[in-house]
Amino acid sequence: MLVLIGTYPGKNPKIVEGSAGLTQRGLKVGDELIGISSGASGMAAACASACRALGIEPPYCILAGDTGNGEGSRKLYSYLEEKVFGLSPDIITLHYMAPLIDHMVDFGFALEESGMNPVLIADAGAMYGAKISGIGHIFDLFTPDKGELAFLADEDAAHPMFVNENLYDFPDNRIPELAEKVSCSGTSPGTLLVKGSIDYIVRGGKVINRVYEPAIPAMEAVGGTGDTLTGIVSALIHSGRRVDEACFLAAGINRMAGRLCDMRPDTQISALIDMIPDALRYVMGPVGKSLS
Amino acid sequence: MGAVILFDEAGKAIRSEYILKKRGFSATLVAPPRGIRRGCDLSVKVEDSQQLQAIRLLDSEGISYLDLAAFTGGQGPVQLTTRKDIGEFIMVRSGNMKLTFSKDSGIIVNISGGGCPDIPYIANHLTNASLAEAESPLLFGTSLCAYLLDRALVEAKRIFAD
Repeated sequence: MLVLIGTYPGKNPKIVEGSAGLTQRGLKVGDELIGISSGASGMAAACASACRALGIEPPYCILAGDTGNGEGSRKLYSYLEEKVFGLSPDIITLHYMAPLIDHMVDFGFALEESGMNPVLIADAGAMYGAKISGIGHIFDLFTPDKGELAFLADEDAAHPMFVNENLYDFPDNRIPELAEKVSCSGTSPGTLLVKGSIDYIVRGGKVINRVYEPAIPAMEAVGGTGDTLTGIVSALIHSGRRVDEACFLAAGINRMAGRLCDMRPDTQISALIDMIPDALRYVMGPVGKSLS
Repeated sequence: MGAVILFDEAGKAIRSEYILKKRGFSATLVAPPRGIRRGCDLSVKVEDSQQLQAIRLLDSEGISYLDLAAFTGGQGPVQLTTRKDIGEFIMVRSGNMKLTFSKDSGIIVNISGGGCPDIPYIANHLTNASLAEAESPLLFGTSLCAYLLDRALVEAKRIFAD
């Protein structure tokens, strides 16, 4: 089972859980309909779309409304500590959540006690929380952008807001060097997917792959393009791909979906999500026959 | 060395810094010292000699705080913002937050980046708003990402006004 966990922009912190499906009106989780935007709802919608195109079981979503006071996030952490391993998850993707050190550490203990070994992916606030809690190494994949890579590389930074200014505006050609430094820090996941004008896949301290086509400069400006990438990579791992192979394919699929929707800086993320099935077939050929 | 005032919400720290500066205090937002950090939280650094006056002022303004601690060093917030021209649009970046607006109309067309839960909520409020009318993200959110987005918005307004 692939489990996706994160907050959506709603005031009700109640947990909403169930298999995710896409409808004309939004993302359906259990009996609830949730609007698709940037953040965890966009990530889950992209993942559900990719799973459908791959012909595999949809993701199981555990979402909570949170507008910043952390109430929904705390409910999600409680679920992670007390219930999530009861679902026997094969993959857990953690996404937009308040980065809370105590809760993240407790999740690490709960994982240890469960004796399970799911693939763990973190992006957004959950990635920040994992880094500052010092438990990044229990994860299998982080998906930072350039600014977040600087945060991961700055040992003292508690948030991207506090990154040392020497690391803030570094040239793009330093991304591989910094990514390799983060990757072999000992507190980092086995694999990093650094998203940007070139997507870098880093494993064991080395850049093992780069994806730079199709080039869609507008993608950096459009809110949610990193979230869709996390959703697609989660789906591909769920389909049985290795983490590094899934990163390579997902980067190409996300870019291709951007091209197919003619992405401009004013495009909204739902337009890219609509194109994921076509992009997936374009990059992978008939489902199951990867061109990689 | 200075002292730091600790809060249970980043929003209270941001508001406190604003009030203290307005009243002439030398106040700076900083990450709480290691060991007492809870995660995405903020504290306010003040001079040792001003800490009691600062606390009295916050009390009188009705802002609760958790504790006082010695400042043991730490980075302040990034001050830089950068801009990138993308055809008919300009993208302004502050830290991990990016705000893109139309050069012609000043309409905010997208907000990207960030990882705190209030960001998608704020993005829903600000997308399609004009820069002239866009309200501070700190009215909708209280996270560190919201603080960075506020800086990006201020810079975008300045660029559009020029």
